[in-house]
Amino acid sequence: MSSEKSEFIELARLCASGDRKAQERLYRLFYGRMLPVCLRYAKDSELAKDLLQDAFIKVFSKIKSYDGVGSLEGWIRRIVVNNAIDEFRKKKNDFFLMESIENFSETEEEEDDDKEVKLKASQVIEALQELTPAYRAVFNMFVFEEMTHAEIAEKVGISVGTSKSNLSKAKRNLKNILLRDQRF
Amino acid sequence: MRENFNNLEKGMKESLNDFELPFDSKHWEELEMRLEGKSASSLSTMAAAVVTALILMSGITYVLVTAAINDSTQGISKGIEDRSNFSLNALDYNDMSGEIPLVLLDDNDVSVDESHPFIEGADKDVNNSNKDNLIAEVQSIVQENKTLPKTVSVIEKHSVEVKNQLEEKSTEKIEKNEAPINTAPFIISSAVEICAGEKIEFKTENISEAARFLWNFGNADFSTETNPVRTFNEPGEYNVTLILSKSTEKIESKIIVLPKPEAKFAWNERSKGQVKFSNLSEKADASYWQIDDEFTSTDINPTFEYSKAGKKLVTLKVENGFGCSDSSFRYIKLDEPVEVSAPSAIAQAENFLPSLSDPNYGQLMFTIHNMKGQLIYESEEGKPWKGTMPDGTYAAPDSEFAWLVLVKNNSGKEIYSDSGKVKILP
Repeated sequence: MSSEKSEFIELARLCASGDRKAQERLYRLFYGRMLPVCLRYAKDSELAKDLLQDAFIKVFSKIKSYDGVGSLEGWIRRIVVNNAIDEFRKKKNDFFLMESIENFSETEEEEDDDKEVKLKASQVIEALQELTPAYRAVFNMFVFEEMTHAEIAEKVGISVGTSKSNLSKAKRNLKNILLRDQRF
Repeated sequence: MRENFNNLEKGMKESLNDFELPFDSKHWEELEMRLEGKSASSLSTMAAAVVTALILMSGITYVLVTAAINDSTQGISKGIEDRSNFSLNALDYNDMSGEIPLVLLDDNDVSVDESHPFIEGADKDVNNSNKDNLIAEVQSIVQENKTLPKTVSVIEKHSVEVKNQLEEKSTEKIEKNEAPINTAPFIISSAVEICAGEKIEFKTENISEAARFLWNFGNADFSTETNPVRTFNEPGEYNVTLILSKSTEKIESKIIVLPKPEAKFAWNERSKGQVKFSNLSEKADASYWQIDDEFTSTDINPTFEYSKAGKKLVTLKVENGFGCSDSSFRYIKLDEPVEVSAPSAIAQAENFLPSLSDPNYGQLMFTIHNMKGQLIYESEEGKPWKGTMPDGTYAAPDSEFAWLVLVKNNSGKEIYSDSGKVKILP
C-alpha cells in the first residue's frame, strides 16, 4: 500500500500547487465518503453540498501541510468535520436560544434493551436532519466524532451540562422519529 | 467506557460506516467556479463568503459613542460609559468595489430616543414563543444595566483604546464629543447600501467581552451573536439596532437594500456547433456573456458558433442601474463526438477494458478505484484490468468498483472523460 501512499502525497503536492485537475481528482476520490459527513451536520443536502465545498476550499489551501504521516482520508475528514462544527458554532447562540423555549419534561434516560439496531444510512441521515441544529450537532460530535462532553463543551463554547442535556434530548427525539417511521 | 452509548447510536454509526454517495459532477463544477474566484448565483454559502470576503469594504468602520443614561428629568449621571465601534462588512464577492463612505459621528447624527431601544421594529410575524423569549432576554439585559457604574472616569480609559485602533479622523471626532454629553441614548445613523441577497456581517469592536449583545435587524429577525451575518433578500430600508447589556443605549444603523437582478439563460443548438442563447434574466439593465474562452458579448441574446463539440462553460453576468449584479453559469454540452463503452459487470478474473466508439479519437487511459476512492489499478497502454487487487489477489465476488476513463489527444491534453461502475459477478 505504500505506492498508494506515495501517490496520495504526490496528489497532495499537485493540489497544493493549484493543479485544478489534481484537485478535481482529490475531490472525486473523497466526495462519496465526505458528503455523508456533511449530510449528518446539515439540515438538507443543499447545505451539505455547501459545507463540503467550503471544507474542500480549506483542504486545498492547507494541503501543503499534509505530511503523509496519517492517512489522507483522516486528514481530510478532520477538516470536513471541523468546518461543519465551526459553521454550527457561529450560529450557536441562535440555536441554543431557540431551543431553550422548547418545553421538554426532564424524564430520566430510559434504559435501552439489548436488541440490535439495523438502520439504513438514508434513514439515519433523514432522522438526523429532522433534529434541531443544536441537538444534531451535539449528537454528531458525541456519537460519530466520539468526542466527550467536555470536548464538545470546549469546542462549541457551551457548558458540559448543556451538551449532556442536548445529547439526551437528541437521542429521545431520534428514537421518536425512527419509531414514528417504524424503522426502529 | 462512554456513557449512554447504546444500541441506537451503535446502529446509527454502523449504518454510515461504509456509506458512500455517487459522485455528482455538478458539485465539482460549482466548486471549480469558486476556486476560480468567479461567482455564481447558486454559491451563497455563508462560510465561503466569510472566508473570501471578510476584507471587503473594511473602510466602513465607524465610531459609536454611547452615553450613560439615567432619569433624564433629574439629569443625574452624565458621561460616556462605553465607546465602541461597530462596522459592517458587506460580504459579497460579486462586487469587490471599494468602500462605502460612512458618516462618522456627527452632531446631526445624534438624536434622542425615549422609547425602548429594542422592541420597536419587531414585526408581528415574530412567532410568539420566540418573541417571549426575546422579551425575557431584553428584561434580563435591562436588569443588568441597573447595576452598572456610570461614571465619567470611564471616558479616558476608553478613549485611549479607541484612539489606538481607529484612524486619526475618528479620533478627532471622539475628542470633540468628550464634553459632558446628553443624558439620553445616542442614535447613530449611517446608511450602508447593499444589494439584495448579499451577506453582510455586523462587527463589533472595543466592546468589553462580558457584554451581551442583542441585535434587531428591523425585519423581525434577531440575534444574540457577537458578530452575526445576515442576508437581506427584500429591497428596502432596515433599521438595525444593537443593544448591549452594559448600557441602555441603542446603537443603530440603517441598511439600504437595493434591488438585485436575476441572471438566467437558456440555449439551443440550431445547427452543428451554432448555439443561440436566450437571456431570461429579470430586472437587469446590462448583460455580460463569457461564452467561449475567447468570446465575450454584451448582446442581450448572442449567437455563437463553436468549432468543437464537448462541454462548454458559459457565464452570464447581469447588472442593474443600482450596480447590483447576479451571475449564472452552466456547462452546455454539445453532441459528444465519442462514447465510452465498458461492461457494467465482469466475472471474477475476467478482463475489463473500456473502449471508445471512435478508436482514433484519442488515447484512452483508465483507472479503477474501490468504493472508498482508493486507486486499485491504473491502465497501461491498451491493456485490460484483470480484476486483481493491488496485492495480486482477485477482487471479491459482489464487490463493486468505479472506473474513470480519460481520453488524451496526441499532445497529451485531456479531451474527454467518463466514469462508471463495474461489479464483480458472484
